[in-house]
Amino acid sequence: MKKSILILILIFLSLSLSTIAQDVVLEQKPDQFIGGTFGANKDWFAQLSFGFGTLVGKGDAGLSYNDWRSNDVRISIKLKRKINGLLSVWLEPGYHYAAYNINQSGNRVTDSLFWGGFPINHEKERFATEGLLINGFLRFNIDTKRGNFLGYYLDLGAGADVIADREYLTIDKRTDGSQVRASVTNIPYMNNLDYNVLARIGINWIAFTLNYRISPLFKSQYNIPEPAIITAGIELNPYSH
Amino acid sequence: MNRTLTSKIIFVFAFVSVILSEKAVAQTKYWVSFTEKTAKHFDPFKFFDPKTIENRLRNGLPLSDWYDLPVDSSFIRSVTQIADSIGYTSRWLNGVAVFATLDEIKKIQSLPFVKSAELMGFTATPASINDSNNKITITKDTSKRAKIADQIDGLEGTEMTIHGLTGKGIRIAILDVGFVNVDKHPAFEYLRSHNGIIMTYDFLRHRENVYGSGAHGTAVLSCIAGKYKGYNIGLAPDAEFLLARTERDGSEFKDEEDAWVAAAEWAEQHGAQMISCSLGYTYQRYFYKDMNGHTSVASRGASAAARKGILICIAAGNEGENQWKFVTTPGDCDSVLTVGGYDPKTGYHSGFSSYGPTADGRMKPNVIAAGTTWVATPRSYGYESGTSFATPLIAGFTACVWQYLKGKTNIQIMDTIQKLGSLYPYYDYAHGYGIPKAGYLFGEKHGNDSAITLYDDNDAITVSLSTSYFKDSFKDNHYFKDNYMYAKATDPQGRVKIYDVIKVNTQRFELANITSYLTVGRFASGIPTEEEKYPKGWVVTVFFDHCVRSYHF
Repeated sequence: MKKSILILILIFLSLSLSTIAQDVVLEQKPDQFIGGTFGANKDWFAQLSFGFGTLVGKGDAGLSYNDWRSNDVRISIKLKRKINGLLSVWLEPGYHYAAYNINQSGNRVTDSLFWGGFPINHEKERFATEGLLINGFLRFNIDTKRGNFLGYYLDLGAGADVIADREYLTIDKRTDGSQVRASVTNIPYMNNLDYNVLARIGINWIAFTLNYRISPLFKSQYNIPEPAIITAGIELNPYSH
Repeated sequence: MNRTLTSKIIFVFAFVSVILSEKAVAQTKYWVSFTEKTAKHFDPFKFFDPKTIENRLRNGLPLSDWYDLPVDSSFIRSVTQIADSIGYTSRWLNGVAVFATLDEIKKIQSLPFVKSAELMGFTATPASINDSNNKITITKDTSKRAKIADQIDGLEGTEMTIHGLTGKGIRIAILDVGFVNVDKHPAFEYLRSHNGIIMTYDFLRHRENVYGSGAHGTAVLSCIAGKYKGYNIGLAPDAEFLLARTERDGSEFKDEEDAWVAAAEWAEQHGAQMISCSLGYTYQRYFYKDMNGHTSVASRGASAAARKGILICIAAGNEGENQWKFVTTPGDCDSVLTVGGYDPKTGYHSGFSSYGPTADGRMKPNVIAAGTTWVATPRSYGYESGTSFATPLIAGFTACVWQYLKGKTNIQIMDTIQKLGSLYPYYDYAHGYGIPKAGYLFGEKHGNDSAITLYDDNDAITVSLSTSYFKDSFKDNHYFKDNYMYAKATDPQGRVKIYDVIKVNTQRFELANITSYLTVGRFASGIPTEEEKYPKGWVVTVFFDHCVRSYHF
């Protein structure tokens, strides 16, 4: 009985409320949008960045890396603090994957490192690393008095890759056509940290990058030939305005 | 490692950097203003179109003044000797656009007759939306008239036609990105038949032909003077037109702001009473703080044009859903009619339409019109969205009003257009004074302000309708259906701090049951005070069905 009365009261209340039913279809508080400090050319800014690069030049003798097929992928967040119209400081944490493909010609150090000194030509052979990247750089805005967009810029900076995972991978084909993938992840020869300097020229949301690796990829006592030290690439830095 | 290849890569990278730097630095465009004019004589009868003389007399302006005198040619020569090249000069602003490097501009600034040198703007954005999601899907009436019904009926445009107002005798300049196929398109057959296009000029290519590229202007012109299967797309098919191309479509050349001013001067020289422009400059060059009506070269040009008696209709811009959000320049000028857009499906603000206020706190937009319109496309017709097309609708409407009120000045006509707004005297920063209604030009507005009662309900204002509201026979329909209530709170300095559009849902009621009042809605303050009450000195104003009422705290 009490339950029925309660339901009746609720129905009555809902009917009463319906007489003043309304929907706010537009509400604006102009002050919320005026004088903001977040924006592409304002004090603070953050944007996602997607980068793709490839090795250029030749590595050390003794291990021939396939430069143009040795690629890296970067997904990062760029965080900006504006200093003045010309200069801003950026921090860029992110994810970095790099693959160093090895040509199957001549003697290769990897034969002795992983295959007991037997020369084997693989379908594919590569070192790969992945981990966190952290870059810091200065951005020089070339057109200093423009409005709230990225425009032309030049970045100069340095960074480090904290390598969390590393792999030596080969892919071979059996006579029946099937593939054999051999992956070695316990690789003591590689350094845990990579250091690099970077330069970047940007045109609004697209940028061309050069990374110059200043630390060796492999530990020096193993005498493993290094791949090329320059990575050239392209970045997409989408943002809305 | 192959050092040669690495060196080559670094060289290419450095080379591209230098090229980009040089591009940015060497081709920087400045607006150089001069201190004086040395010319002493000016014959307005030789220089101006007779219509300009007529315009000036009507506006009570002198036939010539300092602003009409030409820029000193010796100043231009001196600047040319230093700079890479020059753009347009402006009599009104007494200056010239200059391409120069930093060194060159420093030399120019040191010339004794140079007052200042300022960086100039990038490309303006045509205020149209190329998003198919914004296009109307016709589901009911697909008749010919239905296509243009929203844009015409919203303004009560048939009232203009009934009163024989078609913009006749009004000369309108349109500044846009191009008018492709206007010389062939059937939408403009009537316009061409009565030689409605008086003059054309391409300020980017320095030639008369404006029909080669850029379809945006074609659609814009159709919203003033185009026809579709015998029906008017806009309201002023008998107006006269000056067509100026001042903008490259989709490019980022830096020519356009001085071209805009040059075109405005050209328009005034050739007798334009009105300018309709659906272009706006935003984030590529400016910050919101610059939207104060006197920073950009284009806004200074627009102000100068208004001082010369020209009534300027400018698109508010389509930044409402972007980070920019606010009106674009030169829509930030106080003496131009800035036009926003409403959604014909709802009758209130279209999300894309830019909001006010200006950076110095002035109300913008001034009025609104349909933000989705049936227009002439280069080869056919179609729906387009954007304040680009709301603007020429208002331009056509304004031409008719000016035809009706012949002797009025541009500022008086602008004031009249605002007073014809559906919300007037209420305004907010999304709708301005609302949709101008032709019916109000010929008759009184309905409304009984005292019929609205506002109660302070601590955290909100309760809005009620008194019995007097229902005494008017035209409201004796026993229900509301999709009525919108507009409400705003204003601080003691007169700045609107919050505004709402509230949809009052369908309500059935019996007149016999209404003894004193009927509550229709509540307007919550949203003001973050401790008690959630409105601070002292604030004013809440509510608009509902032609009635406006304020509550003073």
